[in-house]
Amino acid sequence: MSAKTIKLTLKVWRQKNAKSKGKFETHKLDHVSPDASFLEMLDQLNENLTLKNNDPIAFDHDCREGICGMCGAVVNGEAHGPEKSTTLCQLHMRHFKNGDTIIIEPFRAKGFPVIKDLAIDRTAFDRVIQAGGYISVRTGSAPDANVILIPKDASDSAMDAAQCIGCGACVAACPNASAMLFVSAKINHLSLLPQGQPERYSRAKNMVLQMDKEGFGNCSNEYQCEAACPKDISVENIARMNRDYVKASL
Amino acid sequence: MSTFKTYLNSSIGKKQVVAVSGVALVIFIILHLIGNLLIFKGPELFNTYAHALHSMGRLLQVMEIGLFLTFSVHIIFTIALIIENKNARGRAYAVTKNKNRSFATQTMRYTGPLVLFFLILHLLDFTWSAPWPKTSIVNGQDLATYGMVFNALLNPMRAVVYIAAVCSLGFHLSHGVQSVFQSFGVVSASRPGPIRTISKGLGYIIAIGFSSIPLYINYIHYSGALLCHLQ
Ligand code: HEM
Ligand code: FES
Repeated sequence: MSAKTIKLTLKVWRQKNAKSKGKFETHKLDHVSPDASFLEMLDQLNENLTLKNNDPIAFDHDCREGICGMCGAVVNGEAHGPEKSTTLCQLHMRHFKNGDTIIIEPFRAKGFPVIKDLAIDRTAFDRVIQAGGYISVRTGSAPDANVILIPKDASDSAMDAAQCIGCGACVAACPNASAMLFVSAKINHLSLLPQGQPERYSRAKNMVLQMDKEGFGNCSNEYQCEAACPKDISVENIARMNRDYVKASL
Repeated sequence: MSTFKTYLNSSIGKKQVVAVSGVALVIFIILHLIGNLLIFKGPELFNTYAHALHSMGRLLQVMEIGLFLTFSVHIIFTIALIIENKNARGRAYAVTKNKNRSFATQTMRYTGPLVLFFLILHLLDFTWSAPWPKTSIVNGQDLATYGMVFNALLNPMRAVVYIAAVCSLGFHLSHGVQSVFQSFGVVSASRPGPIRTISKGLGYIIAIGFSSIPLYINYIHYSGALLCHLQ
């Protein structure tokens, strides 16, 4: 642990519940270790708030290892903060300077209503998955190895798409709050593999329709989602989904 | 039919309608540029071309109506998208940071309407212009369509507005063309590569190609080169 600590000014979004208006609240925080994660820094602030009998800041988190997809906030205008391919829980305070002002907002989208402060309701993603993000045809019992041959590039692309942890940073970063990167990743990690073929087109159609129902925006191909994604999901997935969707519809 | 309606109402469907109408407009604009560049060949050839267009009669009318409908579809669907996208965000962020979001990309919704504004001006100038020879006389000679274009673009204000408009169209296309490839998933245009280059290149060609016309007209007027054409 390095001895040097930094002082920060934090402008944090506070909102009692989904209905209330919400506003920024400013807090000073001293003695922040550069080795602390962003969420640990928030824990430290919450300890101070609790000691002074103030309401701690609600924020989403679970694994704190960058694998569950639960954490996330917009830090100085960037979903999950300034580090590329990094979730908020894996962002460390060494990337900030002493005296910095950090503006922390929830992921903002109609499809992700604020529950409290920085905590948001992402069950819209669950409903998109329920609309078709699974395989329901019988695929038989486990086959012998190498019975079903899968081209290397197809399996690579499927595995890359399967990296998506469903954090919603794509929606947060999209100028239109579109969920196309998430939805396309969830469509393609199945549709690229043989077992995903029978339901390929109905899956694409149903998941896209559910995505629209949840009130997410429309993609305008600005690729901000890919730039913000902590798992580097490629927008090639969106292109593939678009292609499958036309085929499914017309 | 109801499947088609569902498609048109869906996010991807609307996006693809914008893309298809965009492609139709791009094809039109390329043909229009090629035709217009005949100005460089002098009044005779250019007027022959204009005359040939008008002698198509019915066919020309059908094409004009088609063009009008294409513009309408493009505009109506983009307005629908813009409204939905605004609603999808809800409350705006206090701070946003763009990551490699080009100027052309960020200004699609401004360059489009600029083109529309210009289009109206353009129709007023050339399609619903005052009757000839009032507008078509150059150096005492009635030069028909050529003369009308010449006189309009000699006005420095007009020339500036035209150049600004075709530059915004150039920006519009430098994002728009690659966007079409992505919207249909023909090839992903996500990374710098041939599709991005084609898109940018076409933007430049349109902007420079159309801009060259008012510049050329001012040049031949002030340098006296026009007189060679009139002999
Ligand atoms: C006249 C007024 C116009 C308006 C208001 C307009 C507006 C727009 C907007 C806002 C977009 C982005 C759509 C999105 O974000 O999803 C767009 C896309 C596009 N526009 Fe226009 N535009 C106009 C004229 C034109 C013209 C004259 C052309 C061609 C010569 C054109 C070609 C395109 C293309 C190719 C796209 C890309 C479609 C895609 O994203 O797949 N537009 N337009
Ligand atoms: S808390 Fe699990 S990914 Fe950040």
